[in-house]
Parts: sequence; C-alpha cells; structure tokens
Amino acid sequence: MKVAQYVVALSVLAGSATFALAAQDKLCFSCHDRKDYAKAVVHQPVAKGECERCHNPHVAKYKGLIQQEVARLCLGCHADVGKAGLDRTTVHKPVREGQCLACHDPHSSASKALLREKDQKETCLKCHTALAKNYEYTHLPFAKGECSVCHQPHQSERLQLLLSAPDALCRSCHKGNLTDSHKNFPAKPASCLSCHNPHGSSRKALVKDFLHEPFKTGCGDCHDASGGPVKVGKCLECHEEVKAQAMAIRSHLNSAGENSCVNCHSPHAADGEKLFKSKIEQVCRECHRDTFKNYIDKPHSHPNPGSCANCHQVHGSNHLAMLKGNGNQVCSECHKTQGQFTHPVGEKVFDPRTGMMMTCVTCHYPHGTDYVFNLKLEGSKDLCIQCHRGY
Amino acid sequence: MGAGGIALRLLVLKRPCRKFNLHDVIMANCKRYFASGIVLVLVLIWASLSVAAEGPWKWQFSLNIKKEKLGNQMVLPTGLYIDKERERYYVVDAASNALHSFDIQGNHLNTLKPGDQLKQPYAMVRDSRDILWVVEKGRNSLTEVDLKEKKIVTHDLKFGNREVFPDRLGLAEGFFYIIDKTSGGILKLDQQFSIVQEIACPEGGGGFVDFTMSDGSLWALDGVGKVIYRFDKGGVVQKKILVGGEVSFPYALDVGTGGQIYVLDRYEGAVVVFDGAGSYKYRFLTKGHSRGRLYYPEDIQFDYWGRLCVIDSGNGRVEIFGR
Repeated sequence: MKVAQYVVALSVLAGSATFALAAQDKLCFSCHDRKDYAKAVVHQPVAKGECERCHNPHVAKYKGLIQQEVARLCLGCHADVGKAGLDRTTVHKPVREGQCLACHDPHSSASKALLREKDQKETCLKCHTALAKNYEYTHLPFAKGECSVCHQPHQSERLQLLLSAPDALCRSCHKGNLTDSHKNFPAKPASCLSCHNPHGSSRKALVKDFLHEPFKTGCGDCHDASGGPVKVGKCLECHEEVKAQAMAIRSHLNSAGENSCVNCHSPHAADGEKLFKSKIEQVCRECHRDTFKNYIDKPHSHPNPGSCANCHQVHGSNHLAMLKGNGNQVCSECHKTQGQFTHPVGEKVFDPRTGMMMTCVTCHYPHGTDYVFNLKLEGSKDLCIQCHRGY
Repeated sequence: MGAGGIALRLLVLKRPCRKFNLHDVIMANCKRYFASGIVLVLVLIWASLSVAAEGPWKWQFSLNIKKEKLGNQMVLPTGLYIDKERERYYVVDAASNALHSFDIQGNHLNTLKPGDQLKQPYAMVRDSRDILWVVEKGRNSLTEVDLKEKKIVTHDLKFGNREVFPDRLGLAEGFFYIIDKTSGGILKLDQQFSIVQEIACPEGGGGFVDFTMSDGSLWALDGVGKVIYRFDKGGVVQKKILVGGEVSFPYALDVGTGGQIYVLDRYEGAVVVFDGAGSYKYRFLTKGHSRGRLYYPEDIQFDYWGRLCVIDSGNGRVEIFGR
C-alpha cells in the first residue's frame, strides 16, 4: 500500500516539474524567438527548457540576468575545465579572464562545442589575427580547421597550449623515417618547429619563409665534415656585433651544449628575418616563465609592452636585468616627460635606502605588481615613507 | 616576546587575597602554575614560529660605500672574494670597473682601479703570490693583476679552437675553476691556462650558473634546469637535487658547514635552504630595497667567520648576515 502511495507521489512530483519546466520554457519563448536557440548544437539546459539554470527571470547583478559571473556559472557544471587546473603553465587568455563567451555561444550554435564561429579555426582566428587563413602550403589539420589536433583550448602544461612536447606531437602523425626525409642533415633530425611552420608556409614541406643566408647555398659554410653540431664560435665569426654584445657583464650565452645561439634562433629557417624560433615573447618565456606568470597574474602590469627587446638588450648588457640602459634611459624612450614633472630622478638624486641613483624602476616594476601604475608598494603612503620617513 | 613576557608577569602578580588555607593555597598555586605553563607554551610556539618565518639569520652590516656623488659609489657588485689570511672582503664592482676592499667589520678600506684598465670586471680571486686574478667580461679575459709590480696581463682562454667566455671564478689547490658561458660547463685550468678537465652540464640542462667547492666535492647549479649537482673529483655526478618546486630563478649556491645547501633566488630576492639530502628546510629574505632585502642579487657565499654574504647587485651592496 505504502509503495503505491510513493509511486503516486513521485508521479505527481515529476509531472509538476515537467509542467513547471514546460511552463517556464513557454513563458521565456513567448518573447525570445525560439528559433534563435535551436541551431544544430543546443546547450543542454536550453534543450531541456531549463532557462533558470543560468538566468534569473526577475532581477540579477549580472548582464543578461544571469545568476552568477559567467565563468563561475559555466564552471558550476563544466567542472572538468576548472579541475584541469586554472594555474597551469599556460591558461588561454579568455579562460584566465573568465570570458567563456568569447569562444562559446551559451544557447546554441552551428558548431561542435557551441563554438561561436563555424569551426575551431574561424573561432581562433578571431583573436589570433597574425595567422593567415590560408597559406600556399597549409598544414592539413589547420586547413581543415582542426586546431585542437595540436592545441588545448583551455589550459596546458606546455607553452602555446600544445597537447604535448612539440616533436612528440609532430611524430604522433608523422611516423615515417625522418632520416629519409632529411637527407644530408648533419645530425638526427629534431626540433621540427625550428624549421617548419606548423600552420603553413609559402615553401614545400612547410619550411619557414625566411632562410638563414648560408643555408640558402648549402650546409658547408657552417657544418664541417665531422657532422657534429655547429659551435657558438662559428656563429660569432659572422655575427661580430653579437659577440661584442655578449662581452657584457650579463649575457645570454648561458646554455648547456655547444651552441647557445640556437636556444633562441633557428639556424636554418624561421618566420622572420631575425630567425627567432618562435615569436620573441615565446622564446623568452621558455626560460623566464615566472616573469611572464607574474605579468599575467598581477593586477597592474605595464600595458602593451610589445617585444621584450624594446627594453632589454637580449644578447648582453652592462645594466641590471639586461636592460638597454639604466632605469631612466629605458623608460624615457617612450615616457618622454618622465622626471620633468614628477618625483626627481637621475644622477643627482639618490635612494636613501641604498644610495643608488633614483630611477623609474626604484618605484615602478613594469612586470606586474598589486598596485596602480605598477608601483612596488601602495602609492598614497607606504611607498613614499620608505624614504620620506619624517612624514 | 615582549607581549608574552608582560602576560606572564601579570599572571604571577595577580594573586587572590583571601584567608589562609593550605588546601586552597596548593590548589591556587597549581592553577597558577598550570596557567603560567600554558602561557609559556604559547610564547614558545610563537617564538618558534617567528624564527621559522625569518630563519635563523639576522642582518649584521652591509659592505657599501657612502655616496656623496655619482661615480664614487659601488654601483653593480658582481663578485666577492673573501681573504681569510688578511681578513678582508674584496668586492668586484662591474659597472665602476673597480675592486673595493673592506675589513671584516664592514669598513671600507680601499678602492682599486688598477691603471684604470679593468673593463667590466666580474669575479676575482687572490693567489698565494698576492696576484689578483680577475675575470674581465669586457675583454673576455682572465686578467692577472700584480699590484706590487704594477703589472696587468690579460689572458684570453681557449678550449681547443673555441674561445672561452669566462664567468664565475674559483681557485682551489692551484687550479682555476671557471664557468664557460659558451658551453655552460665548468673548466678546470692549471697555472699555464691549459684546460685539464671539463665538467659539462648534463644533457638537457640549461648550463651551470654557479659552483662551489665543499668537502672535496664540487657542487654546481644548473639555473634554467633548476638542478644542483654534486660531482666528485673525477667529474662524476654523485648527487642530483631538484630545486624547481621551491626556487623561481636559482642563480647561486653555497654549502654551509652543517652540509645545508643555500640557493639564491634572483627573482624572488630570497635565500632558500635545503638539507644535504635536498629536502626543503626554510627560506628567508624578500625582494626590495630596504635593509636586508634583495634586488636582483648575484651571488651568495659563506665567509670564514660563520657569516652569510649576499651580493645584492641591484641595491649596490653586499649584505652580511649572522646567526
């Protein structure tokens, strides 16, 4: 008897819920055009008519009457994205900023994973504008718009959100004998991305567009008959200006192996005339990961710094932090009025804490701080009384 | 400590005033001692936590030069040589092309600019013949400075056909030990500058950035790889310690008399301490410009008087800490 009562009660409850959802569904779509929410891929709550899973129909703190901030709302169900670690080496910028809707449509989409554009490539290229849509020779996954064959969309332990280490990633598809495809290569072929562009190129085999001058004419200018790696001295024979820069108090000649030049530069082919292995920021980030993490994590960082080489002398420098000059010379390249109307800086002003010349970087740290204007401490008092103790 | 002491004193002085009764007195004393004991335990816990936060090291003094005008100060110290026999500190100032000497109380004694000829000196040692050996980055040279004879001789180093870019420098048992920036390895040279041994950074590493000799072993730090290696005299790896979990940008190391390993974190302005087995013990100091804070520090060394010396390049000084 009791069982029958339970069954009846549950049926009534289920019926009420269905009725309520249907009513809710009907009510929302009395204003919102249903067909706008009925593309090929529909977000599950929308499909079930559960609008209130995300929206409050009456009042909300957030735009679109959503119940919580976008990221918090999304992660409430898509916990796997959060569990994968939002503090990993590389977190995609929109994910880091909680901008899930930059890539995904929250209601329905013509594309898988509710992407806003017709495929992954179209979605990615909306921000990654430096990439061409098509190349003379295009990598097949890129041509098909399948960015996720190589990249994680949310976060990764690898730079550039790669799924795995670059060579291993390439070899997961290109399983053939590399020696056959790299005849006369003086060493075991490796570091695929130092010569090949993984998206596309105007050269066959996706060889990058800019070739090292000696490579254009063959291998013999750099490689000797031993077939061993080319040593740094060989590079410096031609690049004398780099040798002069490396003979500084601090230099980037600091790598294990025989040639630290190839830590940053590709000796054969690259995407730019300076033959960097990747974008310069990526090259620097390979070693200076914490600097980049700080820059990203801190609320106040120097806006649009551009290339690291704008401020730093990347081969070698006689200044602190391998800057191009002292802390005034570098900043005043852009901040022309610095020191004219603000706190005195320069050769006649000394920091009483250290006796060192006051410069912009005495108070500011452009790689990111917790305080406005990238100040090292709170600017209305704490920073000032470091030196002005009488106040 | 002060607050704890006051609390303890208040408890002792605050006696109840009532009629004498042996049982009551015993009970009152028991309660009082019990309460005092609790406070004492709390004070001890608080004190031990304070020590853990700061580490056992206290700032003692700085090797520095009073600045009256630009050009007369220590600008960018990069090297420190500690002379046990003469009880002197010698600081290499790369930006001023100068060598500054200090006594072991930290008083500035002299500033040497031998013949105004040094070009970006980076590190130095002094041998038993009183010759100063200086790594000059600007000349890519191991330079011999004979102060008595007023003679300076540069020595360009070669390893096979390769030009050596010298960096950190050490002297032990008549041999020079030099980091070669082009390979990231440590070269051992005899007095004729012949390379008798190369200790290469193991494959896949980022090159050595510092080394130290302790108990017959050579300890070397791979900065980018964030690994400490201990080599025997034959150059064979005896121990490998990973420090990446605790250190952001390891730049220098030294080994204390108790076998603890001290690693300098250049970005964080901190000293991170590991035991001989490589287990993290504690860290102290932070980034900044005030006394005892570090800004782009360059090197760390123990002196012969039980003190820890940190070359604080960005603040133009050498900070000396004692226990």
